[in-house]
Amino acid sequence: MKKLFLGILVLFVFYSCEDVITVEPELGKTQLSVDAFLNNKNEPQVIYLKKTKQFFEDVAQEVFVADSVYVRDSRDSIYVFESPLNDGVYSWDDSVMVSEGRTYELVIKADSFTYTATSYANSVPQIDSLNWQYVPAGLGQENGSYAIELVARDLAGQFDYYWIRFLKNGVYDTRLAGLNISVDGTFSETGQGDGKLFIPPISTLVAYNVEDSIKLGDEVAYEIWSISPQTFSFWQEVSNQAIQGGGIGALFATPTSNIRTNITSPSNAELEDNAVGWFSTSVVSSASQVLYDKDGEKLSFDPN
Amino acid sequence: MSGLGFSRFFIFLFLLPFSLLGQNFTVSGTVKDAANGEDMISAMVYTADGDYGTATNVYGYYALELPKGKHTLLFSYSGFETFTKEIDVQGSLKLSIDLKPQSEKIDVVIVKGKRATDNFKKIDMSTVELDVKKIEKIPALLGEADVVKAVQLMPGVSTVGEGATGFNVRGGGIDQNLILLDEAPVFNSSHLFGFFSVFNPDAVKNVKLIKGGIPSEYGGRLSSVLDVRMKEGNAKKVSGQGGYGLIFSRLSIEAPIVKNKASFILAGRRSYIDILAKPALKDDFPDAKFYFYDLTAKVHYDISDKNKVYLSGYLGRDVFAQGFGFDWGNQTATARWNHIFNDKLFLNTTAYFSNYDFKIGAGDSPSGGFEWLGQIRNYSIKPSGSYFLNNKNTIQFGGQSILYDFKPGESKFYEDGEEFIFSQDSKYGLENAVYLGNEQKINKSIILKYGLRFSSYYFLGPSKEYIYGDRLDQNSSRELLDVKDYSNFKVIKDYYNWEPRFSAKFDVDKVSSVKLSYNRMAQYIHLMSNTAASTPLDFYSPTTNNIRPQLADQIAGGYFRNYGKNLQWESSLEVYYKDLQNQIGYIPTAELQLNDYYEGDLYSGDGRAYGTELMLRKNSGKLSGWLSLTLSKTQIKVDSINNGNYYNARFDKPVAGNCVLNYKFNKRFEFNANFVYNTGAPFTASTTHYSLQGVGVSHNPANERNNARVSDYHRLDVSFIIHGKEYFTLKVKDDNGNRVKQKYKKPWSGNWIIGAYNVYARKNAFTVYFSDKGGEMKVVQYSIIGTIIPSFTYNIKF
Repeated sequence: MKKLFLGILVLFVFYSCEDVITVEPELGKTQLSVDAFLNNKNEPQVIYLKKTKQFFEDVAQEVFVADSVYVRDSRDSIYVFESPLNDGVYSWDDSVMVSEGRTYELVIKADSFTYTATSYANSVPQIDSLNWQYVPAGLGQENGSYAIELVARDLAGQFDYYWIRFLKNGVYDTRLAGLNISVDGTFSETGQGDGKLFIPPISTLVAYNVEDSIKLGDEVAYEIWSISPQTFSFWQEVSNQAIQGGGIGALFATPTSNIRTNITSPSNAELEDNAVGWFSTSVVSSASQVLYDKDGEKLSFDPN
Repeated sequence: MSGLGFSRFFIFLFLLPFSLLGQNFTVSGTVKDAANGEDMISAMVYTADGDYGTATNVYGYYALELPKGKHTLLFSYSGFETFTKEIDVQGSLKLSIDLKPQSEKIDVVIVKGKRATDNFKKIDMSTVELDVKKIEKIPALLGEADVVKAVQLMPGVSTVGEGATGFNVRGGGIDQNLILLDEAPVFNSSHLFGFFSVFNPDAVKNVKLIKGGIPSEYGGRLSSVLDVRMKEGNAKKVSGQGGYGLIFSRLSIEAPIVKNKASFILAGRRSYIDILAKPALKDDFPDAKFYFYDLTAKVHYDISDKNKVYLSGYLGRDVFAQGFGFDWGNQTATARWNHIFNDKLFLNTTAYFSNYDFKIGAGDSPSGGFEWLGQIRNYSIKPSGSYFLNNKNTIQFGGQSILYDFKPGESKFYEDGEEFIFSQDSKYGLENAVYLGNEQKINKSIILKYGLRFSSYYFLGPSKEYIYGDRLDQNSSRELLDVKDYSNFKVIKDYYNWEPRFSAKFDVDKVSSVKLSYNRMAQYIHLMSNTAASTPLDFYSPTTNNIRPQLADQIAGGYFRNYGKNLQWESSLEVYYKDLQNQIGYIPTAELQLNDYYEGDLYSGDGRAYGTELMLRKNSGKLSGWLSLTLSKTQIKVDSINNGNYYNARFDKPVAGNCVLNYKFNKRFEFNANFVYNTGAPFTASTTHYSLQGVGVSHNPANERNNARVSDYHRLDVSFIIHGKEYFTLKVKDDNGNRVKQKYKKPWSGNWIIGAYNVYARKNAFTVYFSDKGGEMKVVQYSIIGTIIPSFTYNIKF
């Protein structure tokens, strides 16, 4: 919607301007940040522990070294995450880890503190196929590109929450504009999408917005990650904060607020000992395709 | 004091005046503009000794009770010649007067007798009346005179920034202003977001902003009343005016239908930014449409001395299209009937319809596409009466009933021949109110105005009642427990509020007075908006079982004093404190659009606003204008935001000052300038940063809201008005056959307005944001207008 307004106000953009300004840096307390998004893919599972950094410090986040990091599931299996280099990167690569229908508890022990978080692994629908269509250059798209549509049907019954990730040539689109989350293949908990095909722009959004264009011969892939309603809210908050950036969109930005965390800090921890970050367990389905010339192919939703 | 206690107190006050009846007669009639037959609002009618006086109501009607005997009666109105009449009152008397506009030559008017027109003499406080002629002289963005922009130059009125819809009065939200166009509420007062307002100045007669001491006849919004009255149309001759500017053109026609009895006005505007921008946009926007238009029309008919009817309507639309279509706008229609029962009892009955809606669409079925619309409609009937009991008491009474029909959002997506409908349920509300008030002159120096409004509200079926439990955590939606269906006209939830109103004026000496006021207001509709500036898609929610009516209590006090030989300098110093209840906040991930469960995403809390406003104003002479200074604070406390503590509202501007000047060099040249200064708006600044899954996250460990401010706002605008010559000369043959020069008045008059907005190209920040794009941390300031904007406008009157 913000993009729509941007188009509308293009004439006033003529008068508007953006300037990088310097502000007196205010120092905030640095905290532990936990980045733990685990899945059922046959690859090492990684948890990143770092310290948050001062906003204006032009350095990488410092690593956080814990005494122990492990995950316990509802069948009492314990997965111990190791960091041989003591670089805050904790991994498990003995077996496929996340299973649908189990609850996982993350435990991080550091000094006298214990941080915990829990997450449930929900189920995910399979991706039926991928379609693509050429999109000529236009507003917000300097070069021609391809719009890629995923065809998937929401799981019937209850609300299902998904995180849809796009990969080009094996690399995740981690730009905020590509953050694509969904309830039942739609925007929110209306129940209207239950058991139905994912709707545009959820099904086409990511690829359409990729800044550098997609060409024939590129390998494109979609992944659907099952997430919890809390993780859905978490990504929503991240996405809302991202919208804050830039241009006339500022007129329609929601107030900046802190992103939620599901990491429970010990009750006796001081503010600077409270952790931020997120723990999530997902079941992932995926589909990939090397693009070839399919002349005349049209998506069900015209991306032009 | 309990509600019942209040009502007893008021009944007592109302009985009081009846004991004061004496041997008097009533002089009544209407005051009109001699040039065009327009009713004159708030024209003063008073005796030369200053003992008796009143003002005309919004229909130009007055009634004044005078003791038997001879009196010198004066009729005056700013910019018009004062009319004096010797009368001998031996019984009730009808006296209708036409006032002549002041001729340009007279710059200083000496008024005989004491004047009751002065600021300090009226009971009204926290009230500004703006003459359209004054509004037209204020330098404006792209040279277009604008009612709402003029209002924003008043003390106590602020806005988030350029491009922000609406305005904030004494710490109130933009939905807390009752914006009335001929009594019909206007839900979105802006065209092109906040850049222009919906009122066409050519069709506007009178603008009144009430910020405090709000009389009992007004209700339904917490913070202010912006009462805009349209012209009736010239009842004497065909006339018109128009303007050609850089962004839009205006044209209005007024004419008598039956001379001196019936007339109409039709006024329209259309912007042509799309046409002008076409060459620049070329291929990027092949079918781009960016424009807005509005039409304002009114007819009035004086059926007899006792009966008058008025019909007025407004239709405005903003249209933006480029592959998609997006349009929104207001429509209002008002019918009014004035009836004078006798010289003491005046009754007006108004019925209105008002609508605001937006539509967005792209593509179509079955090829794939979507459409989305939202709407708020309301229908109302509103009888209001004045009973001129005696020269000490004028009683106001009446009621209002409003039926609201809310369609917050309805959207359809088409894909593969399948249709997905995402709609929020329609909702209905019925708001009723009755009121009774009295303006009582205790003696020559004390006036009291007191009243009581009783309002009730019913959240009606057919609709659903959503019952929510607790939140999972403080940032989450409330858990939905149950949904109950209600059939037509079933009451889902009802609310009742007593709204006492009180004002008092005490003269200190012959040039100054002290005024006090208190008002309680209740508001039953709520704008759902969680963005820095309101968008056209923001919808109004009714009061429901989950959303309680908003309430405000305001107390204000002020010192008013006039200066100068003719007391032409007005000054006022006011202080106010406002307490707001049941204010709305939003969880961080609030989904307001197309979400039936939006009520679960709301926080509720309180607000408080206080401040002091200083104003110095001069309305006549070569130099006129005003200087104002506001010191204020506006804070909100909403559930868990800002750790549950009070924080500064987005439109909190602790220091704000305006200077508006008009200087007349001579009959043909005028210079105007305005300077605006205010503290920068607050925003939320982050202090730390981290990344999750490659996505950067800004963080504020102390969890504060609006903890920083953008840089101060200031701006200078100027304009020159060059009036065309009113006369032209021709050589004609006189009776003796000699060629002589003869002067003729032109059948039209025109003027050029050459202006510049933001003269020194100040880059005023709308907001500041923290960016981590490409791993580079920076703070970016965004200015909606960062350059000087020159303008040229040609206006014509005929």
